[in-house]
Amino acid sequence: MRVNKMYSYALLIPAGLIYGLFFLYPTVMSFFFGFTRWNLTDWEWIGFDNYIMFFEESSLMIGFKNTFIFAFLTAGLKVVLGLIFAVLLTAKLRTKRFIRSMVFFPVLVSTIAVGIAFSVLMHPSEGLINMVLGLVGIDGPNWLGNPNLAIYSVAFVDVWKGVGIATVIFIAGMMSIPVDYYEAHQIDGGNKLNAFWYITLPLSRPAINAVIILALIGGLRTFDLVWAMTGGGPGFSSDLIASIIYKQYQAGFYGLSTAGNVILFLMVALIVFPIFKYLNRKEVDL
Amino acid sequence: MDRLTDEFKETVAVGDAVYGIPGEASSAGGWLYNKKVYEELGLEVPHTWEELMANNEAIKEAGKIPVVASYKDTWTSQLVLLADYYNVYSENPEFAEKFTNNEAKFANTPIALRGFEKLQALQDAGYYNDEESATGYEDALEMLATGEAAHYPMLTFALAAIADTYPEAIEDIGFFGQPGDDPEDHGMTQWMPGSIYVNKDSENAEAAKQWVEYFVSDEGMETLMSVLKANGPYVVEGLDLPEDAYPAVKDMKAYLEEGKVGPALEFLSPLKGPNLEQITVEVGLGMITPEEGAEKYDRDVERQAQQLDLEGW
Repeated sequence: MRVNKMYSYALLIPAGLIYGLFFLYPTVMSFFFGFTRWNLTDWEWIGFDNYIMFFEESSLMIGFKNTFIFAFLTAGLKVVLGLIFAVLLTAKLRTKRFIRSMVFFPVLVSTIAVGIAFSVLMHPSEGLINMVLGLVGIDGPNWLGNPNLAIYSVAFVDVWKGVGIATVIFIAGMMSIPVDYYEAHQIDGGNKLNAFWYITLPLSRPAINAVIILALIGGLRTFDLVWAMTGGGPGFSSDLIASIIYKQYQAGFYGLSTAGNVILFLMVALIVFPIFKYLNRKEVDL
Repeated sequence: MDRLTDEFKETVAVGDAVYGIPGEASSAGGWLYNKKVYEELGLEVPHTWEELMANNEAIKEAGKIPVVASYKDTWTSQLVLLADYYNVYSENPEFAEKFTNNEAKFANTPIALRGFEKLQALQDAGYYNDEESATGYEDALEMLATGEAAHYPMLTFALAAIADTYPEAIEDIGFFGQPGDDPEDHGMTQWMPGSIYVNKDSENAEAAKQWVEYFVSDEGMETLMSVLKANGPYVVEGLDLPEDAYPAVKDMKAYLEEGKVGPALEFLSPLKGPNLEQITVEVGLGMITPEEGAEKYDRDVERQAQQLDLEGW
């Protein structure tokens, strides 16, 4: 049987051209320039030298460690906190709408503004955070100046800023669960905790998966927040892969930084695809 | 052209031909200090590193901050290293050339390594302020101007900023070059001014040259001085600073008159590793040793040279 195609291939050309020119071509070219010494006008093929340079350099490698810590920590916290907020905000509360918008509010603020504001709040002696801690007798740490702590301080702010998105996605997921399940569960005499564990959680699975994937990708390529708060410092202690790549661009090492972007791209793909597949297998139908 | 200092001409010459004139005064990298604090504690301007450290001790005992470290603005962390270059230049004038040709390194040249060591010695002795990473350039200027702190290793363009924000304090700010070990050889590391060049293919090349000559003449320079205050000495010989020049600039002029001046390394070599400011923060905070810092910087420079595809790397 012959299936009649609805449209001719010619109609694909405009979209195909735009896709090819603005998405396919740059991607292929960035793989190419990663293998060159490049000053934006002239290039010279140098094989894997850029990649070797990236992996040999300790100040570049520290970015990998920090990026892993940052991405998994922020993604995990966003899922857990987002779930808690979502359960709270789907309950019968008088000020539900108001609280929902409050949780979402930080998402709307510019990341750079958030970063600058928090670097002021986190000032070791004059910052609001340590002043409040001081009132209850706690000697607050140097949040951004302590090399062992800086990356966690930035991660905390990232969670604060990003948890609103997670919460909204969870709320949407939970609202779409039919009430019948809860009624049946009630008739069977189950308690609230069981309802969450056996109904809400499994049926929110698609939402949870979406949040995990989004948060992981976002965390792996975070740049602006860390740049506004610490600039990767003190020294290199809170550098992420993206901030290292940026510094290579700044220094005019275009080939090297393009290689870094290729590495980042491959890393995101290698981490996210398996997790994505694994998570999707576990989804259940409503 | 004869009026320009040799150090300046070196930076605008190709072969024997001189292509530019200074468009402004030069500046220097060294130690800005609060003269009131010095008077109060009866201190003298130090001529060796040891004397400087002894001054710091006295200042610390008096309950003031000896040296400001403003690592929130990471670029400021480089100054102790960069301002030490006069001492390298004086002992080892070929260092810049060998450094550019991949024949000399910071890590294996003791006099060059000294800069990293000095940066950390100040931390080890507890002479920096607390909260270095939360202190910025503006904070540092305030601390110096108010006398809360005694020293700030900085480029002298900071003088204009101090005069702007703390006009009553500028008269109390003095300058000395970062001293080495020999009291007889206490010099200053100079940052060359931005220059004005004439294109030889220009339609009005002759007129432009005339104007350039006028610019460096007494009359031209006096006009310039009347509208733009200098952050350092002029590189035009035989030119006196105006009466109302900043006191710190007069301090700097003394080094020039004695011929104890060396250009900063960045005017002698195209190599300056992009990560220096992060590395000097690490050394200044004591996160890594001066030797590790020097090695790290050498690798940073190597990476830059390879990316620039320089010969011999």
